Amino acid sequence: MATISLCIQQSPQLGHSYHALRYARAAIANGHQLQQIFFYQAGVLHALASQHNAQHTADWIAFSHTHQVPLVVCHTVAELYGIHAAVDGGQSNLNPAFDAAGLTEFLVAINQSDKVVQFL
Amino acid sequence: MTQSQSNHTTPSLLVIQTAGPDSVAAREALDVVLNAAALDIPVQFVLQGNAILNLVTPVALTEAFNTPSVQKKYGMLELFDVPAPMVASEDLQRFGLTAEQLSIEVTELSQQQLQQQHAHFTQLLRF
Repeated sequence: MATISLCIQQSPQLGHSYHALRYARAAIANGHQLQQIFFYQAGVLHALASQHNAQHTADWIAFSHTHQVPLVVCHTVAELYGIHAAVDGGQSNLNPAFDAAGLTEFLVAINQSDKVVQFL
Repeated sequence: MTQSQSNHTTPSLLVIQTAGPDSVAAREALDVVLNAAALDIPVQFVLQGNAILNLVTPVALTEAFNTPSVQKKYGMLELFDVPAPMVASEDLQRFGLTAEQLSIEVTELSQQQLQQQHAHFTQLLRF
């Protein structure tokens, strides 16, 4: 059994998200553990609140809940895409199923993983 | 999709940057390297293809690309005790450059030697 972290770097509109989810499901089915799913570059668009009903994002959230795998979005890149968590009671357009964190959290996850797989 | 495998005993990270100065991915690769170094994760940086242009492109040109110059940030690698980035001799020749013309110290290897380096690291990220 291996511990795996995934890095999703493409927008949910592209097929890479689907392939990544298939990979994640197969990893769990084969007894592996997923440490973290990290959304980086255009992948941060998965965390846009308006994407909540989009199929890929909904599937990722369901997967996360079922298998207790954290969905982590790079907050710095997310800000560049206009996605932000609520600050001082302001409006947030970040999907609450995603944790806004940074590269540090991703690198800590990598450090605790046997494998890291990028979906570019 | 890229994938790396490890025995998870001594994690070490190889970050390969192929993005040139016209891409935000250049800054993101550097951010990953500096963050890893700050966490004491052994990390080696490789600049391949257009990525070596980040070490020679004039500041004015990067500003024309509407991306802040990252050249000063490359200088932080030494401050974080990151080993000198590796570059391929073939890439330098392709752009008519020598290692001495780059803005920071690099380790020059052949393309084949660079590929052999992959085996020495447990994790690999490409930008």
